[in-house]
Amino acid sequence: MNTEQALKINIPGSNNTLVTIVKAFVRQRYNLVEDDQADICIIDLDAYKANSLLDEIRKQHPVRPIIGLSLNEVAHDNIVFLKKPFRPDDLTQVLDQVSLKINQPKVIVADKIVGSIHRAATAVIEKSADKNRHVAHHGVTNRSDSVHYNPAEFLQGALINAYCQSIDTGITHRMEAWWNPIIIFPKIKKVWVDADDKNLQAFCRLPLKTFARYQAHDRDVANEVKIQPEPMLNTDDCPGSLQSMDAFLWKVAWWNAGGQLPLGIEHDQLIQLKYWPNITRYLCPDHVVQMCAILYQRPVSPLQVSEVLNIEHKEVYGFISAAHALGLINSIEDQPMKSSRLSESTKPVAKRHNVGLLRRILSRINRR
Amino acid sequence: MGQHKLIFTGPVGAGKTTAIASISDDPPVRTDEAATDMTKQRKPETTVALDYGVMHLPGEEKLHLYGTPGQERFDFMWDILSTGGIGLMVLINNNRPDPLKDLCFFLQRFETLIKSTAVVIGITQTDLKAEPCLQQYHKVLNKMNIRAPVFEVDARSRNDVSLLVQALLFSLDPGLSLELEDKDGKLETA
Ligand SMILES: Nc1nc2c(ncn2[C@@H]2O[C@H](COP(=O)(O)OP(=O)(O)OP(=O)(O)O)[C@@H](O)[C@H]2O)c(=O)[nH]1
Ligand SMILES: [Mg+2]
Repeated sequence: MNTEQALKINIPGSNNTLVTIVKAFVRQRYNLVEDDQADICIIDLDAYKANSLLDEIRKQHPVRPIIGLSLNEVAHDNIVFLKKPFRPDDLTQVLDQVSLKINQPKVIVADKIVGSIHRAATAVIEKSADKNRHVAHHGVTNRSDSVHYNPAEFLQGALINAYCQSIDTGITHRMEAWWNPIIIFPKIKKVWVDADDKNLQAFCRLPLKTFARYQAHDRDVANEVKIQPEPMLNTDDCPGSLQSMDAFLWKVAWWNAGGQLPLGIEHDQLIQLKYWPNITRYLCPDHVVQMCAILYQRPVSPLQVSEVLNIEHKEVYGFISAAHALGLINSIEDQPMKSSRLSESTKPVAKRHNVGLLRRILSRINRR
Repeated sequence: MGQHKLIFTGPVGAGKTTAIASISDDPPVRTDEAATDMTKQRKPETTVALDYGVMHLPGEEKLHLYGTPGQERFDFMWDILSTGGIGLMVLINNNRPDPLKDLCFFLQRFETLIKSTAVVIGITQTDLKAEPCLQQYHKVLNKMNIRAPVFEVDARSRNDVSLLVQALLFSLDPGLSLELEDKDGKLETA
């Protein structure tokens, strides 16, 4: 959202008098719009059924600021109160305050951090081998090498920033990155987003700036990700179910990766899982358990994993990207790749149990 | 006709009886009785001797599923049960007073079986109590110098228990293939 852009106001409930007044008072500075596009709602708290209307708005737009008008002082959670009667200036002042709150903190904070991730990512590329050198020359967008993606350019990067801010401060945060707002509740380690997985997966396919290009006319706005504190918001304001922060980041990273590795991990580099991911609670397609076991047992390269399991690279790379996003991957940098032969890297721990038995148990336990 | 054992262990109320029931082919044999003394404060029934279930494998082969009784006064049963097991499934009840201590206790108690096979750890009842979290379990394992899969499991969910068993099988042999089960058990790892 741009501070220069006129804020969009919605006045729910068919209150024609209020609409006329607000229109007259705010003139050109704010636009009155339909519910769906609004940034702010104004509601007459003295009107008939005002409370149920309020509940309805809260349900549909849990994070939208509301200005409540009333003859009497009322204390509603999460509502900016304006006492009636009011003068045009009173209203515009309140609107300006709210609009400042919506617009200000996020741009500065988010851009700074995204910028630093970009710089870190650039450094990684510049450090890496010859084959990547031309990529560094062309900037951080290295989709072109087709093996890597840059998490900082996707929802994953923005989400990690939002998680960090939220966890550091212990305050509920809202993040917007050209999509539905994502609410982060750091104390209970949950996130809320008003979208299903199909929607999320579709959104995860492209870097954020692609969406920015469609939606922003202003170049300065193109990199904007909004992350802002929402101390007043609680889980009751979020209809539907909450998801665990880890499980959410896991699938976002998997889908953002699009079958590629995150910058900084090479396909022939030895890596190892620090811990098993919480697989019963995460997106867990076929082969996840096997990939965990192989990568946990000893250092192997992404390529080796796909060879040993005889599965496509993109499956392995998606898994590694997700695990990497959660900080579960250790890179073993100085060990030459030759030292670990394929056969060595998948040595059974207990040889005395024949493979056949384990396999038969596996086929049995897999049957649904 | 091969006879093989898979051992489930863990403290009172960890879900051993439930986990075995969720993957057993035959109705499991239970020796649950009305709980007395301390145990009763937490659950109405507890296993006094052992749990038993079975998975029928292709070719007349069986995998016996044994659950140790959770109460320590029955721990003379534990060694008898665990001899010859293909691996150990430890279930830890997150809703007990000190689940991290429980983990240490069971890993030490079954050290011999773990050293000769493999162990996986499922944390249950996390829906009822979220703390301690998985990181805290990882720390305990690091301290004990044990590398083992540990993740959340709801013993009532067949899918969760199945993933825990798979984690054990792949820990025993990560090269194990999901495809084409072989009839004579001759296939080697890739
Ligand atoms: N809410 C919840 N309940 C669970 C979970 N796992 C198991 N249970 C329930 O916990 C109770 C105890 O499970 P049991 O299977 O009797 O536990 P046990 O390990 O056999 O206990 P003992 O025989 O006393 O040693 C049962 O009612 C299960 O349905 C879980 O993850 N969440
Ligand atoms: Mg029992």
